[in-house]
Amino acid sequence: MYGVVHILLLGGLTPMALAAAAFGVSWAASRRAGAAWNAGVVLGFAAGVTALAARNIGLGPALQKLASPSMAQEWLPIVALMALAPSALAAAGQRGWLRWVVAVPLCVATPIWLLWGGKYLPSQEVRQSGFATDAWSAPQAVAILGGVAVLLLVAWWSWTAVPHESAPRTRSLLVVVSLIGAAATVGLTGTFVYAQLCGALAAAVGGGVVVAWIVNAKAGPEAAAGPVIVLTGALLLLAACYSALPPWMAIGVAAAVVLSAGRIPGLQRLKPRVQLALRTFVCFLPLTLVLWQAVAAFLETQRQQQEAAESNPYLNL
Amino acid sequence: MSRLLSLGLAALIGLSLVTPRGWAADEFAVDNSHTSVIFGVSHLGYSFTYGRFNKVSGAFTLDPAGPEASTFQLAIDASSIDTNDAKRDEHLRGPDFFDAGQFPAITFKSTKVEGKRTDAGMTLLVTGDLTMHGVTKPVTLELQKLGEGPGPGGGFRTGFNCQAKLKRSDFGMTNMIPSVGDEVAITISFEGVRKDGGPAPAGPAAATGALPTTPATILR
Repeated sequence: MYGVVHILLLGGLTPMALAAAAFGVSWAASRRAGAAWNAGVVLGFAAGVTALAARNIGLGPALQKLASPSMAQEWLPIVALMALAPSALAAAGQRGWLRWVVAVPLCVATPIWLLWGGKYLPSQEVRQSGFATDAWSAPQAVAILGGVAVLLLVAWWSWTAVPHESAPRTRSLLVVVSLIGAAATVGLTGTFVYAQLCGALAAAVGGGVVVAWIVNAKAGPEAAAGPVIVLTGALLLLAACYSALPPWMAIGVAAAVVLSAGRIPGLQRLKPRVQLALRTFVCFLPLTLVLWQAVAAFLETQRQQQEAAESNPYLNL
Repeated sequence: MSRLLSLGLAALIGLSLVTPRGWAADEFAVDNSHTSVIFGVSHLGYSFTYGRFNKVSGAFTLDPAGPEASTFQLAIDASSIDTNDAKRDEHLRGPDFFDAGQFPAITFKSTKVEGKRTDAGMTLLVTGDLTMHGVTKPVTLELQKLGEGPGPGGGFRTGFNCQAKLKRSDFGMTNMIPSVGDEVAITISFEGVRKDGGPAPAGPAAATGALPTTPATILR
């Protein structure tokens, strides 16, 4: 119990507090919702990653890992930082299309970078040892990595195409709920590590939501589309490739996150209340389906283990 | 003077002919079927859970002239972990422990070998780089030579056994400590088949070592 509280404090409260502080400082300095949201999400997530690592290895080494990452998940704060570049470039150049000049190579390079050296894109050493049985062929790798890059770009575009003033509070809450759902799904299907990081991302967005409400910022987390979309995509990709998250569940959760704040065609023409209800429905539909399946699979495993334990013939002697 | 030189040269050539296999080191390929990598780790301090890795590959060279010139290379398929519980194995393969998807191989590459003869037979102190979970650390393994000689299907075989203790946290595997112990005891027993399949060198066919102790004994 103490462990769970400790993780919630480190992976939840720390990123939330840091994100809120960064959002607040950035808002006070610039009065720009985009800058505040981006600062909050990136700093909050980095703080969450560091706090969770510090729990196991201490603060010094955890901070060192932030600067010199080695594992795929340790690269995520840097990936989030790089995902700021497209928005910054578009804002500086006053041209929206400039965003995509940087976003396209980033969405192509991130999955390759994170999976490089692993079982699907193994190193020469792993190939020589004869353990590269899961390695993708070149066409397979191009198709899968290309597909992931296209999905990331579509999701990113969907978030940037939504009007900022369109119910930012509802969309903010839906994003937080979807990310918590992602954390629960990833945890239930087999890995605490990625689940905690999804939770840290949800908390960082949550910190931004709180301050955005207080200062009445007229934008939701879509203002930080780059970091949120790329981090969510990267975490789901890692969980699908290196853990036991089934690809359909990863896509379902990703759809929920995208629909929580992204553009839904035709939605603007409806009344505000209908918009809210419809967005909530299309976001919760895939999320509920995925979570229900994940919980069912988890309970089934528990039942099997219980059954195996009870089948011990010596139990009733 | 030139006669003396010729005599010396002839003596050298003669020596190289009578010495089995000349001065070259013997090259061996690790035989997966007769190689065991087993480990034991404490569970809540109540018991030891044992497991093994089922897929191992590697090669080593043994220099009869001097053990210092010997080399050892071993690779273990991290996803071949087997603790007799499929669900637990899946978790151990995942990012919370070995992260076998991201780090498919556990490798050991020797950097220095020292030989010493003990009552139990020939022992090699092999220092090398152990890479596990993406972290490389130097470790020293005490390889006890168990025996050597012809195999049943031909070919010359030699085998070693070693036991070691390491901390998984040193390799960045920090989850669930102390419920799942930090210290892990390892026993590796491996057999190599000489690559040229030639006859056994002169001398005793086998120097049998004592039966190895279990990993739990090492942890105590």
